[in-house]
Amino acid sequence: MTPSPTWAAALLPSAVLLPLAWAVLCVLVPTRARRALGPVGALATAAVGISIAVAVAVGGPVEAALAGRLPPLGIAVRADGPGAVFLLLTSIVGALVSVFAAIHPRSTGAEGARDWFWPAWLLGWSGLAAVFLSADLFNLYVAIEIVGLAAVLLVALGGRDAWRAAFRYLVVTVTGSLLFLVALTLVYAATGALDLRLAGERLAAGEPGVHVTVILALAATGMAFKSALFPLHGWLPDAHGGAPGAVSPLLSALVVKSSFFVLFRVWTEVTGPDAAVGTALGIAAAGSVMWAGVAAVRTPRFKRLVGYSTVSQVGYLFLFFPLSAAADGPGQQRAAWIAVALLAFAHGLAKSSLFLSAGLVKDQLGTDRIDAMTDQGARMPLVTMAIAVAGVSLAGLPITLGFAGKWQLLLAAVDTAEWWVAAVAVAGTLVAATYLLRPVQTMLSGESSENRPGSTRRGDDPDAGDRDARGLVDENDDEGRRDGSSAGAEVGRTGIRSAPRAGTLIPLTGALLAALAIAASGPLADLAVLGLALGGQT
Amino acid sequence: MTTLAWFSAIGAALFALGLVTMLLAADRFRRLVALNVSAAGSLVILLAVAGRGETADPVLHALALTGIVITVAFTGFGVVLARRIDEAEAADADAETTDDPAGDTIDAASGGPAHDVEPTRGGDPA
Repeated sequence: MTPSPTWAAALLPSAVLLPLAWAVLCVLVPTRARRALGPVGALATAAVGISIAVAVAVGGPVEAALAGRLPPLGIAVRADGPGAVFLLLTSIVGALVSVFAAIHPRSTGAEGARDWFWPAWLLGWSGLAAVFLSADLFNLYVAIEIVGLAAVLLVALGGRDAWRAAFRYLVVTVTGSLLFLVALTLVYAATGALDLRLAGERLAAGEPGVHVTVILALAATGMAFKSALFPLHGWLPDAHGGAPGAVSPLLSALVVKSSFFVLFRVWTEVTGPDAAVGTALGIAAAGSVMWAGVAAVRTPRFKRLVGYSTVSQVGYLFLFFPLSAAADGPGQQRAAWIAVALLAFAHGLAKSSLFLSAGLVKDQLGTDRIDAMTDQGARMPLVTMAIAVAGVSLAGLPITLGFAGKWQLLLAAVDTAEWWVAAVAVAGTLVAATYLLRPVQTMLSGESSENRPGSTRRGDDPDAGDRDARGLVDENDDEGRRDGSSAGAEVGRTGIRSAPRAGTLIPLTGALLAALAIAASGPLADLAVLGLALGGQT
Repeated sequence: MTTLAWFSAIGAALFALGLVTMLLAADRFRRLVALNVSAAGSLVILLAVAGRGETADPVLHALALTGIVITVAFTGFGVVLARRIDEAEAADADAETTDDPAGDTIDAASGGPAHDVEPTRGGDPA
């Protein structure tokens, strides 16, 4: 492995410290200056994150010692493959949402509260980067706590209707962190180390015993709280559904994954796979995929539907643990991780796009009830298209990155003879296609469309390819008609006032990225397993 | 060694009691206090582990300090949030009882004489 350039090592701390410093700066300046200053810091942070990911992809894992001391005395910051993939995802989604928030400030919170969007979001970003780069258990704990508090603050920006959800979220996220704190105390009691690698080596060298299972069970329960794994998911649809339009995508695409990543670190580097915890997490993951999927089919509100979809997709990520516990050798471990990393990447891009779209729909209609969206596709052609493309990617239909991830998951499940994982993945795809079809179908059909030529093609149950094509046709028709007549201009104009035209392009960009990233699935998979530690007791 | 077990048991008991109360209680302040009890329990476990050797382990004391700071941070934030919610609920209840047909805005209703609380419109959340 070629040594990484020194500039990359110097960049590592700045990925955490730059957004942190910028958040403080944003608090200090007058509120009007924040709106100009915030996006600059966000884009600079994104640039740092992407540079680190590229450096890791080219030159291998990067490690930096804070204050010039290496473990066991110092605290290490490390960017390995898994961290780099998630940092890259954070940078891309963060940049997209930041641009969206900059050109559509009304989506960042209730009147007055939205002044705090940039400090809170940059603080959260700093925490996210710290989660993905930490090589130390206690740093992970502090980072995950910062992410949690910043996320609660961001939800609370939604105004008085969101406060109750924010409080519930606060209680849940702190509970999760406390469980993790106890777990890391037990690790320290058993090993005398907090550095991930060191603790893993010492734990593996010591007596195998029940304490490893207890540590893992505590960490898994805590992170299941934070990631909204079934049956601990009750808070998520309210929190993510009630959050402002530019906040929900950040929560669903990034924050939920940070706690999954913490558990991944503990599982792979400290304790090693454990059959009992793996089985429990597998049951919870399967429950997430199916239960939340059915709930998403039934909910009457669009943003809650997208929230339930997040719970369902989080289930897919946690399928990594049973697969890893059943894996025979590092090859199968890698295969399982590649599948889950690709799914996480695809989900981050597609879900941020879907939530941005949902926020725009809510802005325009004043509600996110799905029945109110009937035949609104004509008024929001770009948003409708973004919802359709993001939906295809989330459901994991070809040719999207989500499909690549799901395909890898099926292969890994078959390879480890965990047939039930394959069954859950396939059944989850059917459910996802069902609930993601609902908003698209509602927007493109309805009673009022019957007396209009050109938009009356309403299939009973069109398959996905047909749906995509139909979205394109409808959009073209509608653009043409809108130029010609001023029908519906009233609603259209208020929509334009609440969301600048450029703002509607952002979700579409995210959705297209989520689909087209399949072209990069090879390099992404290579990056994901770069320097992947398979320590512990394997 | 027995001291370690004793303190660990107390810490675990505090932690579990706090968690159970937190999950069962309905009142927001009660839940916050329960969460604090839980946090204290986890810190007691930390200190118990720190005291297992001949001399106290400074690393774990540093961690306990950090844990206290984090506890203070989330408690302060939670109290502000809970207060805001209670005020908003009081304002809502007020708006309903005044039975004012034109009082569709909460700001107008909560400015009534019965309330000395500030109407919580659009303040900063921090």
